[in-house]
Amino acid sequence: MNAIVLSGIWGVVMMFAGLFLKSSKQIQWTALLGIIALLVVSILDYQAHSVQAQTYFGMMTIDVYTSWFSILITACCAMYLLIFHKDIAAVGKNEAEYFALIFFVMCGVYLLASYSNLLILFLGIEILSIPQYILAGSDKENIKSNEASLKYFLMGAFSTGLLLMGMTLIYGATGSFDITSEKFVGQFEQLSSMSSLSFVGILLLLISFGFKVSAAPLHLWTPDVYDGSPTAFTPFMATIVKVSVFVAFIRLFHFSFGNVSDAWQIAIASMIVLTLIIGNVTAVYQQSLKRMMAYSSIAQAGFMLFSIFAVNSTLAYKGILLYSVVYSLASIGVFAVIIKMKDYTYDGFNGLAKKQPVLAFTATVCLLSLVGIPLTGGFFAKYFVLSAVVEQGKYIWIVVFAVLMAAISAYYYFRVIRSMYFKTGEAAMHTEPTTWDKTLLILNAMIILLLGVLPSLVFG
Amino acid sequence: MQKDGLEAIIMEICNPIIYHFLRSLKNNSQTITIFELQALFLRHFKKMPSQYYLFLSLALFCIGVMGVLMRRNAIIILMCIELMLNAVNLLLVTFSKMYNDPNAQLFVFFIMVVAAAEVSIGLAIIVMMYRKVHSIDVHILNRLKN
Amino acid sequence: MLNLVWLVPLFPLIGFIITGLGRNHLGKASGWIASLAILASFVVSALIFIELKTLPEDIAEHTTGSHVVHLFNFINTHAMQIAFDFQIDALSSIFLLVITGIGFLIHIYSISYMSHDEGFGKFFAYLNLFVFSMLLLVLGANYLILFIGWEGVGLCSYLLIGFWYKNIAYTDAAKKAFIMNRIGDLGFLIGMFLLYSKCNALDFKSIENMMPTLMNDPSYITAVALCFFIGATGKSAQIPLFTWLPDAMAGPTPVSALIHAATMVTAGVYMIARSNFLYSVAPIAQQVILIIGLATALLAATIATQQNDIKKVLAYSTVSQLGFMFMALGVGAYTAAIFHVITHAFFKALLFLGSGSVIHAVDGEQDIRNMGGLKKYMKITYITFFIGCIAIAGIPPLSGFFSKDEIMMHIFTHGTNGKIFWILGMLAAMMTAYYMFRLLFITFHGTYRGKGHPHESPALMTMPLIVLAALSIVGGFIGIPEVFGGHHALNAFLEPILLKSQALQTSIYELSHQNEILLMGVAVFIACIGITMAWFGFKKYNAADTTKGIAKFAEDKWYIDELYDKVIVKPLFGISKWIEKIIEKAGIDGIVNGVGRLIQVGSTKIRLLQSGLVGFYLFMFVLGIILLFALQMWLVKF
Repeated sequence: MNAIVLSGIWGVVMMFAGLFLKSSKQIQWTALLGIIALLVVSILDYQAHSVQAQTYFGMMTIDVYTSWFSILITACCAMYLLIFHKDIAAVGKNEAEYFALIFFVMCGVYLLASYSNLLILFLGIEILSIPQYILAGSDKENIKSNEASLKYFLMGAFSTGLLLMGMTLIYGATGSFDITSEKFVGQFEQLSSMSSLSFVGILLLLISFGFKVSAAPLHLWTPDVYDGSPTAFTPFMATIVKVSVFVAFIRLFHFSFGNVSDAWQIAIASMIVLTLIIGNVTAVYQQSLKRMMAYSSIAQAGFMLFSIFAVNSTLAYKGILLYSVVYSLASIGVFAVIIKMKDYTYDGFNGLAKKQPVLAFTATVCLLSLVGIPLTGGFFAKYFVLSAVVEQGKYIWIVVFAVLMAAISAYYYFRVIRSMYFKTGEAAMHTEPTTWDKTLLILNAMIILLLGVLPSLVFG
Repeated sequence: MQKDGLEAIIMEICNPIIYHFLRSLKNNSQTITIFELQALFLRHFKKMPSQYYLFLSLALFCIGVMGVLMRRNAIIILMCIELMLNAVNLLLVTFSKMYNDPNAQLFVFFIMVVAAAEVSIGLAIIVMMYRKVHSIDVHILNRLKN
Repeated sequence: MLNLVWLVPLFPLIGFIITGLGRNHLGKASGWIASLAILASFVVSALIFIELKTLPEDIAEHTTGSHVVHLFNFINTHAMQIAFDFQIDALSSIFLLVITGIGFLIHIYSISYMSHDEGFGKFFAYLNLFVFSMLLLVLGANYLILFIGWEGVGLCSYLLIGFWYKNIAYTDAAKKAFIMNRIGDLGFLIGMFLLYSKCNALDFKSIENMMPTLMNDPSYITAVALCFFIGATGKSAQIPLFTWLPDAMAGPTPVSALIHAATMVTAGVYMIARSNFLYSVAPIAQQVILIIGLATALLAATIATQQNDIKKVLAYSTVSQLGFMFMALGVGAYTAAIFHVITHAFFKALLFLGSGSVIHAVDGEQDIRNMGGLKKYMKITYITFFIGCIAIAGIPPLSGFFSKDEIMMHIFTHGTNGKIFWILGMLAAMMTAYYMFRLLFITFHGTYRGKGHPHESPALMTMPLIVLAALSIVGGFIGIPEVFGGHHALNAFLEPILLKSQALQTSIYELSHQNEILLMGVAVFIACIGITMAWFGFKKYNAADTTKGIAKFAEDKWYIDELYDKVIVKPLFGISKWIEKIIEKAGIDGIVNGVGRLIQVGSTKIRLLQSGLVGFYLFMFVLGIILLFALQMWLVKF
């Protein structure tokens, strides 16, 4: 697991880079170098760990699934940094620190991908979260950024308390933190032999995970934080961080709590229903695209929750992998266009297609993918998670409901396309996109379209 | 020397240094000291079922949660969150004793470290907020809504 | 060689791509490129045919004479696997030869026929696409591939009927053909779904192997067979979906020859012959096919006797002849049906091309009342047309005689009512001879009644006529019945395909040689009566004659189109108008708009949750925890 070490080290390297490198360009290049190195290292890890292996005194399990996910998420992060590195540097004076924090977050991501001990899970979630509190407030002069940071911090810390309580109760019932140990596995073999401590513990874990992935009714921080944070960091929080929490989520709830799914499936089903309703319906009202995307990320989380919900389904893992990649790339693509605009409202996008046809096209592809239109990756992503539920065979009505909600989501996504293509306006730009930006965005859109034809590419 | 009653209990629970210290005190004053009271308490501590600790720490946890809900001062909210974490710590130590498993105590150290890091970030955020609005009332900040 | 069967459809596909992309640049070359593509397919088909014939006996027996070539997995999901396979056996190889052979001749003919048309390149692109689809249809090793070809030929038929799209009547005809075919296709699709629901497979071999178990459920088999037959009635123009074929004559004449006479319309016959294992165990479905085939043969023949458009006569004649083929299928005489498909392809293509030559000569005039006496202007066309007429009329030793006779023999010996069907079939055969010679006499005999100077067509057009005429003469020799001392070559060749169904139901008619010769004599006599009637009625034709009574009824096509309009189209329009007004406007739109409004109102309410106060958020957080706990504990008793 060299990626964990390297991401931590590179975070420190970035901090020193801020000290010694004077030019902003050099710092950005250092960061890009770091993420490429991380990508290479994670690929090497993948090749090294073709069989399941335990490291760090049995606290982490590395198998093909986790290392493959590490590659995918690193690739998404590389795409994010390649597209946004200039915008990140433009947020404030301490640019090197922002990159450093992003690398620390990546360290947490790798921990979450491969933990097999609740302690590592806790550390992973904290390493993931704490830098984000800072990133959210990194635009210190902006009171909205302050507010986002404070809200995120207070609620995040509160959910940490719940997470710890859940872990402690589970420990109280099992006597072990190691999710692969006999004591732990034995406790969750069947519902009747499970103690009530674990019941409460599972639900508390579910809730704190639900908080991290912004599932309703625990989602209330999401729109404010995503809206208030600097636009350069919102896509990072909404995509890479969120999907890696999903992977930790599915790992714990399928591998460890899969046999006692009756104890938590109702809770997660009601979460899904609330998340889909609140995410989609509230997004309809929004005028600002950035805030709409925040609600959209809630709604998309509702779809991703299906893969957690569908226990005993082989499709669920495929679904979450594909959904992670496609959703991340599509959101990054949309935010990459948003950040170039002066005005984040729908009206600000009027006539973009005339002015910047490439941006409008790539944004359209990404939006169509978010809706789940066939020939984009989003279609298969939704298809896999929903068919996982069908395969699992319980609560099929939720699938019908989800499809209806996807229809609602088409309304607010297509509204953007309408603004760009069918309305006239000047579409004032904040920064003009360079050829490099356009190339990357087209590449991003092409990947999404490719995954719409060959979704099996992400299954490794 | 004859060890009986209280002395035996103290011997059993406390380490020899404290035991000798207690004995020297006892020889001097011939009265039951605060240490003897503590020893009595410790005896009960050992016999006390661990549910009590569960209830205690859950109570502490709930107090923390209620504090978070009730108060508007950012620092107090932070303290209440710390209270929640400490309730967890207490519970972990209890379970550690119950299972004779040091892992949980290890976990406590990690929680303390992470909590410290979290508090430092939190205080920094609160300072940042104070500089901007000259208040640490969390309800002052509500620009972001709907 | 058999493994290279994919080359056969590949050449027309390449031809389609080249001529389609270069339709505005290639000029006259596109015609030659397209023809060359078909010729290449024909050569490969011929090689395959030869190899199949010389295949060692034991292998042939082992695989029941068929060879499946796996190309790739077409649908490959967890629940459903359908391969893109080609099946090459006696049946498909014969069709390959007919399609590519006649297709090549018609391509050559078209180079000259279409030379003055502005859509020259487009025409050949469509023709090549058609041949590709048709080859796909006959090569497919499962119903899905067959269906792809089935839809492909339907599409090409639509495109080519409406080829002169500037004429509204022609595009209407194209739409009519397409819609009629779609109705049939629905039946075909339902049949496929039914089949798949029980067999979990669509390839012919698996289903054939599953027949012994499926036979326990005769109503299911009958349902599947009837659904497929509905598809066949659409494609092969049988009652009740036959009315599109006469209208399809709006397309260029080579199209009528290739698509609407020789190949596409026989797809239904091919499909049922291919599904022989299914139909042989569904006697009710067979009875339905027999009756519908007979009714179609009679009805179309009566209409054909009164038509004045040269192509319409041939179109109704085609419908009538298809009726004969379906009669053969109905009595389980698959070989006879295929035999008639082959001979019919020869002489009907010949007749259509001949009529095209005539139309070419008289500057696009199609009404035979304005023709006459063309014999002396165009010798070759006349002679070949005459050969076509006697072939279709059933005069020995031309091809039509043998195939039609074999069908009639089978019908005669079929069951208790076979004799009645035979008499009615003979009536239709007599009318065939009558209307064909009526057409011949009115067009080529007497005096010329039109304007301008008719002239013989160029060699490029007459060459295919001569080849087809030769084929019409000798085509029957592949199936000389035993009574004439021949051995039925086609029967022997097709035998492996029908092995399973023959085990279930005999298709060899048992008739003494004396009786057989007697029946043949009767058939020839009846044909001669028809020809004589035509001779006396039309050797001195006067265009001023008006038709009355039942003839008028037949001339107006039995008012079938009007009947469909009254019974189906008008009420359908009424219902759809009602639905549009009540259900669509008030119901669906109301619900959709209502839901939309509900969501908008809902979003203005739900957004109030986002009050902006972090204290409230934390409160909602805890409330959410309590809610989730309560739901979970309430719904799952722990």
